Amino acid sequence: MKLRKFAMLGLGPILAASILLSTQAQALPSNTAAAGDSITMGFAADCRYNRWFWDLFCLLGGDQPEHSWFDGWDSDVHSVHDKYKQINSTIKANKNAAASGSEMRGGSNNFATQAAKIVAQSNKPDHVEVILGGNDICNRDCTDANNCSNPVYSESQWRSSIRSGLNTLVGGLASGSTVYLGGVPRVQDLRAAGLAKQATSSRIRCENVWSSYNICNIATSGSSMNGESISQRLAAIEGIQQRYNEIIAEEAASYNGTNGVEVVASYQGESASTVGTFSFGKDDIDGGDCFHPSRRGQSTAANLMWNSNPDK
Amino acid sequence: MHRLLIAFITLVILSSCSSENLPDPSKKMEESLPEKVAMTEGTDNAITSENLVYARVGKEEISQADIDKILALQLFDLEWVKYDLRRQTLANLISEKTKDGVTPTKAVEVLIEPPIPPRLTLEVSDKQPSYGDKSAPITLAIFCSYPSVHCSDMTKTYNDLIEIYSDQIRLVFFDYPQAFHFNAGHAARAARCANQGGQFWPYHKGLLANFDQISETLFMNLARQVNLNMTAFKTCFESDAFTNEVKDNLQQAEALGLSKVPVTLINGLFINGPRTLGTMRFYIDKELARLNIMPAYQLQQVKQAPKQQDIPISQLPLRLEAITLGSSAKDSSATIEHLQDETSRVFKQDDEILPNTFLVMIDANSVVLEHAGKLERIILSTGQEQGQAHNDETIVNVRDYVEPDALVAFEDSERNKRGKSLADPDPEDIPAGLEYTFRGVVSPKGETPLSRTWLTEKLAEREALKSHFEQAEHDVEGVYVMRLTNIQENDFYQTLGLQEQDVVLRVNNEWVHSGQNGLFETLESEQEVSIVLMRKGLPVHLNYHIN
Repeated sequence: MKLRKFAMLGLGPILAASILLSTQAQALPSNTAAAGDSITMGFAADCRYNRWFWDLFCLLGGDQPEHSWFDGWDSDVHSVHDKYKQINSTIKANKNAAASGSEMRGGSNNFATQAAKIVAQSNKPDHVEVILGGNDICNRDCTDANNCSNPVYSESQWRSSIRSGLNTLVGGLASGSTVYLGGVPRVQDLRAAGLAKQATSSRIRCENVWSSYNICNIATSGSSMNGESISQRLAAIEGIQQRYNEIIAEEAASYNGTNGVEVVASYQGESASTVGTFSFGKDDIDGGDCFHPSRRGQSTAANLMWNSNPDK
Repeated sequence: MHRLLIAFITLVILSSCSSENLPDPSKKMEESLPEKVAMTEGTDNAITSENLVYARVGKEEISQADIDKILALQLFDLEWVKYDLRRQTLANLISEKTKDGVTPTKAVEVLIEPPIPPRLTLEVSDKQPSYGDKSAPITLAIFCSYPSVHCSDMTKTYNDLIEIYSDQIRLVFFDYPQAFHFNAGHAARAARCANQGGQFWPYHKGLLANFDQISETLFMNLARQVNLNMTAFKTCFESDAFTNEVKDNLQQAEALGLSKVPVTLINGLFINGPRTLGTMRFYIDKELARLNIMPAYQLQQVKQAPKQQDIPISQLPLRLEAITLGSSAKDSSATIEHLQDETSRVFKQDDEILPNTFLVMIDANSVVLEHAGKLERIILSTGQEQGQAHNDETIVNVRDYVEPDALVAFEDSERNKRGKSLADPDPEDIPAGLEYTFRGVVSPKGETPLSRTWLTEKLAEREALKSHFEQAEHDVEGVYVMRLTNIQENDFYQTLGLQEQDVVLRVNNEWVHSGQNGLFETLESEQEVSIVLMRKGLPVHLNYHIN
């Protein structure tokens, strides 16, 4: 929710305060932006198979911005931006800071970097949506720090990365803006969804693709990794993913209102259906890499983000 | 619209545009401009509003103009946002008005233009790395930071501009290392050391091609590949040489009010962020028009024009409805109506229009056909040519090099970003009935230089190099994709920018798999090589230029 802004020149402080109090109301944003990874970039959304070379061109084609949950224009997705435009066609959206492969914490385009890019925009957004974190789990080699040199991030590491990005956003966005944090998707569902998917068609081989292209091995490989069996890893990821979402919600609450910026998390516990709790199945992932959201998955993400969006 | 173009071309031919009249961009970009143009042009509106006084401090007044002068760049960004919003809204309106089919899309003429940016004044010292002649009428001053993906993306655009405008363009590079870009300052110094060795541009492109792997290892590898004297390069890099030059550039950028990369100043015109080739061409064409100079690609067309006058007008039942001129013949197309069945189709060079009739050339206002072995010409229709009467009131003469953003008004510009690359299949090979939108392969980032001498030496150990490819699990049409293993310490693969577990899928336009691997033969025989691979589940496209 935004506070409408008033010029205070010439008004006494009491009068100004009373005006502000009396006009608190929901207001649509005028300019929205997203921080995100390949999910936000719509990667592979319309890829359906992976057994012919022509199928592979779909993956090699890279991002599919038209299928982004955030600002895609494909009517199958009905993105957040498209939903906004139904209310007010002048609302703008950009995901210039997002990039495939991004993490919340690691890499060269993490949340802090994306936040810096967002606040550097001359026409600063007044509404920022964030979905990051899947790669933070997928790019790790074990769930127990004792078992490998590249374990999942600890709670404190995860928390500090969220804080880095939020510090920049609440410090750089105008008062009255909103930062809306989506959750970390349930990567622990990937393996089951992929196995179900490959059972539907001889033109889809999820396991072969996952192992060949090193796709989220920690959650997709049926083999032991660094002494951790798949069942151990999935159970651990379940706990980690939930904890990551709880921390997002905790930090959102902690930052909310700083410098007049509203910070909200979509995650409200495991019982509410959000990006962080949605248990996706075979039709929600694409058939090219059996990892990214299909067009249907993107549409679901758009709906879930929209449902608890405070700025509408 | 095309009549105006011809009139403009004629005017420019009649008035000589000799190079001695051109400004010397190496001094001050603004010299040839009217006084007071810089920093305010195109930013905001009426004189009365500029004179509005916003505050008085003692006897001193602060006007809107005072504020706008400080905010010129930010205000232009807002102008761009307004333009973009109008363009998108226009697209919606056009779609609404044409969706019933009563008004055909061919009767739509899009006239919206991007705003004209403020013009910044920039001192260009001879020390700045540059490409092209100082007398070029257009100077592109490029501010970049090597780890920037957007700077990397712009490499192809700058290359394309050089190809299109030839010697009318000069590039001058300025370092603007961003604080949050790891090793950006070191990369800037390394590039200056390469410049000292006379190899700035290939080195610079190599850095941008590897924007995500900026490290001292990369600096040394690239130095070897562009055949620099390694001792001199190392000495330079390890010293403070060029630290001040980089700092000076940084200060220049900040003094201009820049805040991010890339920024391109086209004769001082402020172009913020990554922009499409079409947008860059729009501003360059505007600038050339201001200087009364015909763009190189139009000059070429004019040179060809007199010859076409000798080609007879075709009597075939065809009508030329519209022309789209791209940066090359391959990118140009003509919309031609078959008068017998009143159907229109878009044709490209070499397409067969009628049996035994081929399209051989497209220019600004006509096309040349080869019919039964003879050349014939069709002029862009105004309703009267060829003795035919037509009822169309509006002729669309689309020029994608002039109003790029307007022309994609029907669609989101993101849909039109990719061009064809070496790794793409031939268009005629693309099968019908694909279950997805064919997008070609992901765009490459920059271009890594490779030394032929070094490559020859390495390829002598070909069998050992091949042994790093192993069959992966993914089977495609009876063969298996190939994954790289144990290459962390391998100089050959490291220099190529390949990483452990990369799955190499294409080399130029051939697949790589357990049944064929053309990597080594291609590196041996070609000067331009393209590799497309999957890395951690995402596609990566690497380009190489072998010196």
